[in-house]
Amino acid sequence: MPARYPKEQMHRIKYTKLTPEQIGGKLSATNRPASASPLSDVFAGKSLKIVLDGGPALSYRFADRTGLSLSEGDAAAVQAGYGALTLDRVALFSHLIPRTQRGYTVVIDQDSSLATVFEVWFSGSQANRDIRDEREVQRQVYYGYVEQAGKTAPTARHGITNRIEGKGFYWKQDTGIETLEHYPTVLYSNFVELTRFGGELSFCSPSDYIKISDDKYIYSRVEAEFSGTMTTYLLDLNRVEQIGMRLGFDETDALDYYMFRGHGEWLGQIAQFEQFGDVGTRIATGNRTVPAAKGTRSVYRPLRTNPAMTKAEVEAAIAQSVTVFPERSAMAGNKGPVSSLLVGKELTLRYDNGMAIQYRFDEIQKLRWRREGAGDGAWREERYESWESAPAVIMFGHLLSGAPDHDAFSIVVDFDHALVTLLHGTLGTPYMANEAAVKTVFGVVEMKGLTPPKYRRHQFTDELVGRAVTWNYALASGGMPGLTSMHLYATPHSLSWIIFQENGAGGLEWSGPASYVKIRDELYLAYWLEEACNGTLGTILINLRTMRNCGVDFNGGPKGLRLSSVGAHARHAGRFNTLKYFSPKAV
Amino acid sequence: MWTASAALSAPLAAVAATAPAGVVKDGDALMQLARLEDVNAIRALNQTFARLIDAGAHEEVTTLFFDPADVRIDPEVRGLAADGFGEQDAIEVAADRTTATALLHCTVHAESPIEPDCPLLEMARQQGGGVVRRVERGVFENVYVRRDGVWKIQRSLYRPA
Repeated sequence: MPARYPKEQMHRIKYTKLTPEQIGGKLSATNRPASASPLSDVFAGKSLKIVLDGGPALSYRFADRTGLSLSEGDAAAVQAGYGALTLDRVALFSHLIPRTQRGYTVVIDQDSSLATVFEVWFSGSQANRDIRDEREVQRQVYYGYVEQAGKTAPTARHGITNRIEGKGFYWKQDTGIETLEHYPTVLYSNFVELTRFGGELSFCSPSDYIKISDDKYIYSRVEAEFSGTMTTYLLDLNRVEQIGMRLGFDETDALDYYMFRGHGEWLGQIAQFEQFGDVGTRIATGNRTVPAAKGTRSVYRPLRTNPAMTKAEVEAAIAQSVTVFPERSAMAGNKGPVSSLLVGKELTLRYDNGMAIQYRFDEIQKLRWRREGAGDGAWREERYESWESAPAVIMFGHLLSGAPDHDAFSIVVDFDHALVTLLHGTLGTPYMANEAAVKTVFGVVEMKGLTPPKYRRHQFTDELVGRAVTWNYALASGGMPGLTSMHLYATPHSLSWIIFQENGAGGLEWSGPASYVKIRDELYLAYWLEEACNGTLGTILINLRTMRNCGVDFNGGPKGLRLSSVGAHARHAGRFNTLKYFSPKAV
Repeated sequence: MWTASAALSAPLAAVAATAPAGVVKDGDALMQLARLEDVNAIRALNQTFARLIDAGAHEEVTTLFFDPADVRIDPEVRGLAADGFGEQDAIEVAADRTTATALLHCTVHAESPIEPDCPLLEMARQQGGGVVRRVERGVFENVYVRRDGVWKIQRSLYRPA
């Protein structure tokens, strides 16, 4: 079967804003979760009372392997369909409550009698005004135990953990669905839908990580800002097996509610940056006061703070403000010295798409350029900045003032090989006017004393795929990480960025399309687009010998047009062995 | 103006607290006792002020002010160790016992936002980060007023020492 690529990637799909009434109607059509694997009868004929800290007591009677009755607290019993699966002595079952938009997914360790319960619901805006998408599954996690006659209640509990932070897995469900799933933070996860979306990009979702035992954990994500679907599973680290459930509405608004069993492969373990001894039993929230509303969690909702603008709005903002390499930039706190290597040079950058640009570098931050054989032949003056990341390798950037799409160039020139790579940024896409687009163009340098190669070019590379690298941009102090992120080069065509929490744990995470070009050994030119987000085009030259980057950010939005420098110190954070999953195969 | 840095015994304080400012004369024993009681009350007010600032309980801090509209808490101050309050707090009570001032030396845990704004900072701030932390010695310059026998803070200005 040919590879399945969607018409739109996940971040471009305009998921229907389902109403509570529509959701209720769709839920009423299902009785219990589907399952490709045989359901377990571990609970058939049994009764359980689950006592929860801060939650309702749940009294279950399981008629058979598909039907149960539930009493919440002192409420009358209701009948529901359910599905259960087991992994060793740990069982996971899931059900909805008929005529409601609620349900439970329960994990019980039959040896310890400890239980973790996810209460889940749709139409969350009624209880939490921060929720604006009714299809987004909400959850409240409770910890407790199964009451046992004649036995003292256990004092131990399952709980949140960072002991699974940094791990990554390939999974293949019994449905045939394949994914890569990385757990680089304690709040978020990064996943690649190899089957559903063709494996081009990675996406990020708020996630829960709960420790059951040293080798068994619960992972749960909600695809917030996308379909709102929840995926919750129990996984065994050693056997790389999973049992779980998926609940939500897909891109056609069809209900997805099923149990699954899966097998996987170990992708590796990247670094953690918490203090030794910190095993992640609390989430560091810094100076933020966490709201007490049921189901509250940290969710990055980029389009709320960066709403789409019209072209007219963008043009009006740019008419007010154009900023080119300002003195102060939070992203450039650790940038290297501005290079003077270009000063006095005259050269032509001849690109393989036919474009040739002539340059005269008059001063350390002033250049002139003109297109060869185009227009009136007049030189145009621009402010630029440049850095020599490796000997004779220069990265520089500048705007093309007056260009209708507010074009910006990020350029890497290797004078030793007379090669150039251009990241040609423009503002505006078919989706958002305040969003950058980019094209990568290879070419050569023509300059007195240089003879460029005829066939050799810089090349796209997958050498970074799976790697994680931290970037400290500015001002780590007082135990705080300052402005520090971690890049996860999750696929050959995407990049994910993770923001560290106060205690060094990974926190919020997001991702965007990206591309990687090899300039020299351990020297890579990367870009990423913060699509359906703030619209920034980030371009960096990554030097994995000096462990520093230099680069240019290009952004157009409510504050006008901005071209600014980037500079950060790096640390290796490890690598996931994922490359083999991205090679096109015969079908 | 009268300055004190010593505490009163409880029985004397009880007597002094009932002494109206208008009927005692400067130098009277009762006047001295009343002023000592003023100092004690202001000192307790300061300790509460420090504790609430340290806890980030800015809503509760407003209850210590005479006019909540006058509350100006330096947003960079996140924690406050009142180790200097007491012997070195330099409380001065006006002769008419209706106003007072104090210099409160303290150790402050402060946070400054990293600037200028950028998308990464937006994410960092959402999870309580995006700041530079520092610990510094500082001084609160407080002005107090007494109304209906109760001391309240009228103004509070923080400056690094």
